[in-house]
Amino acid sequence: MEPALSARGLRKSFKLSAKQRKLERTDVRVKTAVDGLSFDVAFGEVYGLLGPNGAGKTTTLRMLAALVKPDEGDAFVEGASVVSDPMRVRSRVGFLTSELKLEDAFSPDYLFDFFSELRGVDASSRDERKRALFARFGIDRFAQTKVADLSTGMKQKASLAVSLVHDPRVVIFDEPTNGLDVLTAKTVTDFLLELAAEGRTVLLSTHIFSLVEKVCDRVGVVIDGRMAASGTLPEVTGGRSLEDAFFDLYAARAGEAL
Amino acid sequence: MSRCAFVIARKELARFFSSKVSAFVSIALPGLLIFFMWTFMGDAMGSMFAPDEAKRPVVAVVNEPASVAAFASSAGIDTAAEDALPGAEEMRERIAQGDVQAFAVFPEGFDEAVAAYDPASGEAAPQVEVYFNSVEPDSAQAYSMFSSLLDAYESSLSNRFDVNAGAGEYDVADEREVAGSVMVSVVPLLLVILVFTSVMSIAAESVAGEKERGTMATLLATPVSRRDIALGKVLAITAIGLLIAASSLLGILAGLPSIMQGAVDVNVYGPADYLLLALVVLSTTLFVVMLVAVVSTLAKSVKEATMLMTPLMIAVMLVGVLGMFGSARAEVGYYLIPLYNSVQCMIGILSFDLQPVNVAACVASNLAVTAVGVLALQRMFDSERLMFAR
Repeated sequence: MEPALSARGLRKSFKLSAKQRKLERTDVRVKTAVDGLSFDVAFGEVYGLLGPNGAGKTTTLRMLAALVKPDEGDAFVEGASVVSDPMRVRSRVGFLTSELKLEDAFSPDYLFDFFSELRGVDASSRDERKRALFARFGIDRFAQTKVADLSTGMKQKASLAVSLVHDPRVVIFDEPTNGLDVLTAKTVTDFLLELAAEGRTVLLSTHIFSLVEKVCDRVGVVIDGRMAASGTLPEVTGGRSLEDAFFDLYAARAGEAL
Repeated sequence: MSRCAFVIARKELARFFSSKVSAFVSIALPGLLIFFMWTFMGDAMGSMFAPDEAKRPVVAVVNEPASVAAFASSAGIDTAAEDALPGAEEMRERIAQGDVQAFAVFPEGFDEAVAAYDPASGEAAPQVEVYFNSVEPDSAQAYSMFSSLLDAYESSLSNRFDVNAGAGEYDVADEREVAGSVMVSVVPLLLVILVFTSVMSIAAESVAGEKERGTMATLLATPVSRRDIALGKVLAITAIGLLIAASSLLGILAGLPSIMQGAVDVNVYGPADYLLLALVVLSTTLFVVMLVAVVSTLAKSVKEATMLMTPLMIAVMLVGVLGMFGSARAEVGYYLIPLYNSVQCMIGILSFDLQPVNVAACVASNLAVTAVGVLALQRMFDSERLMFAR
């Protein structure tokens, strides 16, 4: 059976500006963020990309959501290529990352309607879905409040709701609980489990071990843009804790003493 | 153009109008400011320069000749005998108190000396000294009136001929020419500057601001073509830019008669003139919107966009200033250069020296360059380096 998500030899490099080279204390002008990454996510599976900051997780997810194009390789979402058919990929995916912000001047209600219209969701489906999502995340009371006046947690919940306006079967979340208070983080984690229970395909990136252990069916460990290990949790950990397995992989790959 | 471009344009307009104060400041304030400032200045200038018949100036005169006293009285100036010329400080004080507006010193035996003076003798003519305070409007006016009085008195002593002494209308310029000469020196410059500066801030917020705040990426993650996103933004900025241009033009036209003390009648222009002017302003606004949108897309932040647009603004001002001098150029080639062509066209329309082919060339050129610019802008929206630069 064809996987819901499939990455094939993804590679992405960025030119470093003089300012970036100075900040990173390097003379290298081109940085390879993702270096030949391949993995599959089956339908209804929750797959976690685990890795340190700068490992290439976010760039990978951005390529899979057709936000940026890979330099080499390709990725497929329900059979649609991110290289040759990015619009179809974007229409099928629900994508959420901390880099994607909502405009401060608008309310969650306005933004939900706006993104529904852009994604071609009809009015009755939109209203029904808005009621359900707003109730699920407790946004109802703040539906008409400007985003600028919402708390960080409520902003994240609003972003989550807006990313799902089109009821996607495939959702890609980049660091979904990053920077959230414990209550909001639990809401998001529970919601990920609900999505999995509904049979949706979920790909998430994180550096939080407990989140992977709690929600992921399979995990891929990404270090320096390469896949260091991929499989079910027992396959990757080999009987150790995920944390120990990760640091062993990191030491072996990055050659750093920990 | 797809439906999504209009959805995005509507959202951009909603964001702009979500802050009523900001919308008022951007759209209505430039025109209102010009109107009220010019009206106020016109009133102030009118009261400053119009002679106040109820308040005759008083000149303190040392050695006042009888001939001058009679002449001054009939010319609306009161004179007061003064024994000796006071010092500068005392003169300033007395002028400030308002009793006296100027001081004059005649040589003793002035009338006799003038009667005996032979211009052919080569000797110095009798000297009259008039002291005044130039920073006091009443004093400056008294000086002007008393000097004119003395000139008139001198002419009357040996009058051989007069210039325009009758009651005829000697200036044969018609109302249209007067209005045109004033309008061309003000309207093009002000209009291009106001439109550019206002559109500049809106475009910087709409594109660079969205990139800076991370909301652009949210939009780019939707299944909407990046070209439609660019087009939606251009549509919204254009709509706002046109409102600003209309407001500025109305403010200028409404305030001009006041600042020009009634010397300009904007009713000399007919509907066809205003229609052509609107056409030129429309095409100019489109070009300006495209230009600032392109620059804003190149920038990572609002601050950087504003910085990049500053040299452009100076160039726009220079083009506007160039339009203040001379008449409209006749060669059609000049009407192909964006912005410069708009200023030249406005001069032509406002001075009734209009060549239809030049207006057509101007509008066609502006639209063509704008179209090319919008295409370039759409390609820029496809660039990951530009769209995700933070």
